[in-house]
Amino acid sequence: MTLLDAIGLRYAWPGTEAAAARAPGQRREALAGASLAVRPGVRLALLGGNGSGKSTLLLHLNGTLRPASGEVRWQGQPIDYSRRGLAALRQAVALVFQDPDDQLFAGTLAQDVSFGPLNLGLDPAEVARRVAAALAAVGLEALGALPPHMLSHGQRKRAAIAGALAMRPAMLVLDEPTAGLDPAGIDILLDHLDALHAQGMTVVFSTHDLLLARHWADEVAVLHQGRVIAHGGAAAVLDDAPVIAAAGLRPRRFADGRRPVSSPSWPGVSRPSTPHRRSADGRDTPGHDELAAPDGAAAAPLRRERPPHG
Amino acid sequence: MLRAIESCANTNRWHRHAGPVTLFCAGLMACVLLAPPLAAGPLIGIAAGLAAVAGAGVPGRLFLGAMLVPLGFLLTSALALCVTLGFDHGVTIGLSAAGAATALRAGLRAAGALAVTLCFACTVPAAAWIALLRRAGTPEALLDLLMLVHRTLFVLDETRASMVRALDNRLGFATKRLMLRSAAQAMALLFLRSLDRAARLERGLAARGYVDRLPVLPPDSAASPLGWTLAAGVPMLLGGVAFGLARAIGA
Repeated sequence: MTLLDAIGLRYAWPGTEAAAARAPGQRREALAGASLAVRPGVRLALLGGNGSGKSTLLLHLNGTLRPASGEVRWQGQPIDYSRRGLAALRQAVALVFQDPDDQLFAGTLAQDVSFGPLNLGLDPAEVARRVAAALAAVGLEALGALPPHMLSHGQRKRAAIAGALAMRPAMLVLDEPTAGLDPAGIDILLDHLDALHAQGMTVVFSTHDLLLARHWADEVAVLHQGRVIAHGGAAAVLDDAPVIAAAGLRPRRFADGRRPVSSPSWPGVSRPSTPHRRSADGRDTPGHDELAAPDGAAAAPLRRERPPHG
Repeated sequence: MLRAIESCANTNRWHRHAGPVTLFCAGLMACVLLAPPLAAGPLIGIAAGLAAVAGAGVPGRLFLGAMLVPLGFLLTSALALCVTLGFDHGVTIGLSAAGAATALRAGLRAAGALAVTLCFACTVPAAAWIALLRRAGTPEALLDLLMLVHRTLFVLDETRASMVRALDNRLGFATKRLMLRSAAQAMALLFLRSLDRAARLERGLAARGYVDRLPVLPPDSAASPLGWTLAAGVPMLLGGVAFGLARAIGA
């Protein structure tokens, strides 16, 4: 039994056709037949490189975007894109954007969080209760009277999540929730998400952080060029080196754990401490390759300076 | 300055008393507009400044700093009023006593009104005065627009600041010529970014159930009977003093 199914979604952002016509390497479609099944109560990480279609796919999950072809099913039923249908779906599937400024609009945090519940037609007393609970759930209860622009980026991210939580959704969809957060901020955010997941909430989030996916997700789906190319248990997918490499999720230079053999040369930039060599065609090339050991291991052992006084 | 005023409005001692503070500022504004300006301008200006700084805890440096630029505009305009142009015997330029008197009256009235406006801006959060307008029956569409403009101002201000820093770091403001060019580029880019921002915000709101309204709860407020009494009484008292002073000095 799945909670939500995306089946063969295809979508192109307006204007990308023209860009694709001018640049042969540019993809026309952001989604090219993406399919995804979300089981209830799961923490699903959607992994993919930049431009793989992660955000576009997430925008389809609560009907913010409508696919050109394919369909999204919520609890087995195709999404109803009517005004009433979308309102019901967005109560069940709450979406949190990567940039919190894309969704925070009101004069204070509490007002912003109240927007969703008021759209559901709840009475103000119930909305006030939900606002207090949502702000407490993300640790922002003391900041409810402040405007969003007086908060840090991490606090704004949590405020955006509070806005989603106040809808009491069954599924929380987060677009790159840890982007731009420091490790302490990530810890705080994941603590709050842990608490929500413990209450039975389904959490779907996009990221390109393999570490986050390995340690926090139950399942991982890998998206590449607008298609889901792998989906399964987190460890199984993340240990599938060909899939991870195909999705461009591990930098090539770190793929085999070796140091780079040569560095790119930048016009007008030279490194005086590094000997330059003249190649056969007369061009100067930096000699960084001399710093790397032939087998790619670290060229020299780490040296520690002795303290000046004992 | 924009951020400093916004921050102050949301954290000053009176920030939860938007109703009485708005009444107080409206009363002061009525005084400065109705009473003779030679007495009311300075009196109300000083009263508004004292209320903001001593009453609400607005930093004095912020209050005076925010007044400087508008006062500069006022001074420029007042100087223009003092000058008279004649065309009877060619073009002649001279000082006009009547113009100077008009400039003094207009300048003092405007300075007083400016201080009252600043007192309001530094003490009443935007969310609170938008809520007051809602209670007063202002059309919802206008209030939604106000709320979005207010929020977008700060989002764009952050974008502007980061763009200027980026240009500055690449020597975009090294010379006057480069400064002009960089400023023009930044403005053009900011316009495009604002369109992009608007599209993204629309998507964000749609994902949260936006259809055609932006309903929000009114912010928490606190007001005591004493607060309301002072808010109504002090401007009336000051108005009386202003009329009395004006009669005394024959203004």
